[in-house]
Amino acid sequence: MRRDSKQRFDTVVLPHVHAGYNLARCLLRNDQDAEDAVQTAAIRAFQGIDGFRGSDGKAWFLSIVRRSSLNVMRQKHPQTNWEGGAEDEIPDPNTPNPEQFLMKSFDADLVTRALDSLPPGLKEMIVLREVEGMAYKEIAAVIDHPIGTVMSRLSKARRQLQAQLMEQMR
Amino acid sequence: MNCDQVCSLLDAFADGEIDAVRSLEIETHLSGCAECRQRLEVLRATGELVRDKAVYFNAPDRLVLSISGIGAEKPKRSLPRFNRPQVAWFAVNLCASAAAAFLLIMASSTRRPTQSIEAELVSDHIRSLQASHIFDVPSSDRHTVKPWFQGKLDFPPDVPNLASAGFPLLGGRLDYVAGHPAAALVYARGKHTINVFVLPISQVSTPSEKSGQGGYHVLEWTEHGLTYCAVSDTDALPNFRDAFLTATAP
Repeated sequence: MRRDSKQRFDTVVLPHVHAGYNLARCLLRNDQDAEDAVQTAAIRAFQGIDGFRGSDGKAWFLSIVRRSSLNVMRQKHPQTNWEGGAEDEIPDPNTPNPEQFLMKSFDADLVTRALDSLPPGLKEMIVLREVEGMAYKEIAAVIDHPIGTVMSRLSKARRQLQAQLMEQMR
Repeated sequence: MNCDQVCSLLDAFADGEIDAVRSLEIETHLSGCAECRQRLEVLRATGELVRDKAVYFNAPDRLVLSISGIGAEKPKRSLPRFNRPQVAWFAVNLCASAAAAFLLIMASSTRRPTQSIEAELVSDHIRSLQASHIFDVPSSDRHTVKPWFQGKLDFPPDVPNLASAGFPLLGGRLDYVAGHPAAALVYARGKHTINVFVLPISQVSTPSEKSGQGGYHVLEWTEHGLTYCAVSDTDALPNFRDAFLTATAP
């Protein structure tokens, strides 16, 4: 029984430790906090591994990492503005100006800074979609929201990231 | 579809998250609308930028190591049983393998450099902090902690409570230093943690004086035939030792 759990844990969770850490680190912006959050999440995952029936270990583990990151955040930074601004505001399709945007060349440092400047609720959308390449359905499972929310938040996150990229360029 | 309709679906389109019918409609619109094509290009470029250029934070090795040890088989050695989370078992395993590795090193070299024992103490200290703090006996009561070690170690250490001196006792656990069983006493100093490793004098030659190791201090003293090694990132270790010695003076 115990050996089975361990084996399942190794197959389901271990491949996603780096993805978990990257997500936690992006949300918490601190190495030690991220490490604590992922460590706690991994223990939770092990405890819950027998109840995990799904096939998508990555989304499952990341959702646990996300929850434990939010716990750390609530403790350490209760004032965090999760999404920055209203949920339903309609983005202007011409911000930033596409022509200007496509002319620029952004270096790695600037991209990292721009991403880091986003509120956590938007940053995680970029990380899950662009970096981890997850489908909307998987992202919905990670953030425990309907797909419609994934679409609107991701769109908002991209607009803000583009605006930040332009902003940091100045 | 007009530009507004296309724009509202463009993210999902770029992500391949749209049904075939609407996908076709969008493609039709794009073929005739340079502006929307450019917007799509911006979307794709944004994703590429993040993928190619944003820093990806890989989990540190010790975290990966620690997580891969979760749920690992119990060690063969008979250890007292405690009702503790998996992480504690991992720590025991880790200590055991550290001890084994250390014995190997000791076997292959006749003289062990002082440096490595100091490094081991520091890494024991750090490991104890990582595993969300492991106590075999979490207790601030010295009358609980001290008897706990009896029967597990043949050198029951002094366990003073130094709360009045600003170093409250948090608990104790069994640890291994240089392959020998050792008592680890855990004290707090504000937000800092102090691990005191206690072992018989003859077994290990420890660093004699306070020194820094990656921001950690190690301070050693001997009393009643035992060696006490305090490890912490607080620089109040000399005060701690003095308080300890005062409290344990006959």
